[in-house]
Amino acid sequence: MAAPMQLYCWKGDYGLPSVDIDCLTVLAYAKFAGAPLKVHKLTNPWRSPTGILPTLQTRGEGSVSQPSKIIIHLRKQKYNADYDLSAKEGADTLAFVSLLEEKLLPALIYTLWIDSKNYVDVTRRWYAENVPFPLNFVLPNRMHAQRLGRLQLVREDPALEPGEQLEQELYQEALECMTLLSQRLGSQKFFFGDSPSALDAYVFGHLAPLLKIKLPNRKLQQYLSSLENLQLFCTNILALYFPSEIQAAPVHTAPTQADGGDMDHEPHKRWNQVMSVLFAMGAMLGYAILTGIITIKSAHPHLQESRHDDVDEEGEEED
Amino acid sequence: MSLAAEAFVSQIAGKVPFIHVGNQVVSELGPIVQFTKAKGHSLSDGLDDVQRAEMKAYMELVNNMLLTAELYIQWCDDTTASEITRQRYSSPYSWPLNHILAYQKQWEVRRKMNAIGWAGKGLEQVYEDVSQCCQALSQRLGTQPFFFNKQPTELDALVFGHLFTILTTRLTTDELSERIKSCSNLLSFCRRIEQTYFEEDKDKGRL
Repeated sequence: MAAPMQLYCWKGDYGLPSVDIDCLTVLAYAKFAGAPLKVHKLTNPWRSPTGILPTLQTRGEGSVSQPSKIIIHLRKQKYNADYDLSAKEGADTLAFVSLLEEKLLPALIYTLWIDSKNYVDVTRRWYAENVPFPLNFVLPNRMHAQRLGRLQLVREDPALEPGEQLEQELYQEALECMTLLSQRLGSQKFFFGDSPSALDAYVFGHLAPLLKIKLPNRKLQQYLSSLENLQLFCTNILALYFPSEIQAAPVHTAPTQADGGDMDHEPHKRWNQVMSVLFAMGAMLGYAILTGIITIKSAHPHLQESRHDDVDEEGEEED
Repeated sequence: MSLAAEAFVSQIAGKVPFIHVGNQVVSELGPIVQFTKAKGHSLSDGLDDVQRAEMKAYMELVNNMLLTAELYIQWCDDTTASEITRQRYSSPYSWPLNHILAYQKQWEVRRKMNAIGWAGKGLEQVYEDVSQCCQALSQRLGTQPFFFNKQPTELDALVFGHLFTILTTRLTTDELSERIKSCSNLLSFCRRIEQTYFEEDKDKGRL
């Protein structure tokens, strides 16, 4: 057997196999199509063959980058989750993917990267904690600038800034998009019947981060939580295809519970505090003895009074 | 219905359509549709939820694929840009403004293409994407007269506008219009709408 194809993606967290939308889409599709992939979970995009994540390293045809191209390549290798779809369903897939990209993706990017509270408290923090030094100082800001720039270009407004009105517009479109998806899904398990396809992968990739990552500004997430069938859809896929991620999900202390976080460290903090006080006292005592300010009891008793005077003088001088 | 038929006008060549009603001017397809809806003429009332979802999705597909491809071919393909687009765009202005504005627009469009990842695509790839989009539309249309059976909707208007423009605009090659013509049901769809709704424009821009 030839060496398996290798997929490089962003590391997972919050119960997800990856924190990045495109990586989630590709991972989900690979699971649906049963493609045997060796997955490398990275925190440093420079370690991937193309410098971008997700990237698929193929058997002898170089590396492929964007999700649509990766999916096309997997299909060529006969790992096709859309085999059973009719031509009309294939056309619907294209249409709904366009809908996702135009209406939902801008709002997602806004809520994760542009909204100031969410970006500072959650997104930037995650990347700063997980990306290796010294890239973690540079990469989050660069990704932020990139996404803001893209949003400005797409909306043709070079002076675009995060704000109430922009948020309102984007979230409104996203709500419409999610409602349409919900209507299309109905009570089915997947968009085209009983087995998942590329469209399911795309929808999962876009909605799962919204479902799982806890954000301070929860407006968009609240919209999603009002659409139960979409929530069920995501949790279903996670349970069926990524069960290991759910078990391995660490309990994240949200930023608002900063006090709770401190409580865990407190025993160590106390211990450190006590040790440092003892050390300081020991150092002072040692210095005092060495310079003769205080002497040990074994000295002559008739000298004790003058010593006491010395100590008092020292005390006054210090005050 | 006649008001809605008037709203079928859509010219994608850098110009925005607008309608003038009384002392109001409404421009661009989205707001025009909303406006006519507010006046009580809506084309998509007869659709159920699933169909409306599909309609919106296909409209996004057209915007995403066809519109971007048109922009790409007009501005990012060097031959077309230099021979046709820049001339047409800068024609109302005098020298040197015409050069400046044309190049500025070109630069702007190329930046946008870069941002959405289309800059790396070659012309062949763009034609492929357009073909794929047309095939999807063709599949959806099937043998029906309109996309959602008997009644035309906003989607029909949008598709007609784009396809008609592509078929009637002269470019350096006929590749794009050939690709559309290969989907015969789309071609007959365009002809039918042109004949039914635009009979008075028979002399202009025949397919």
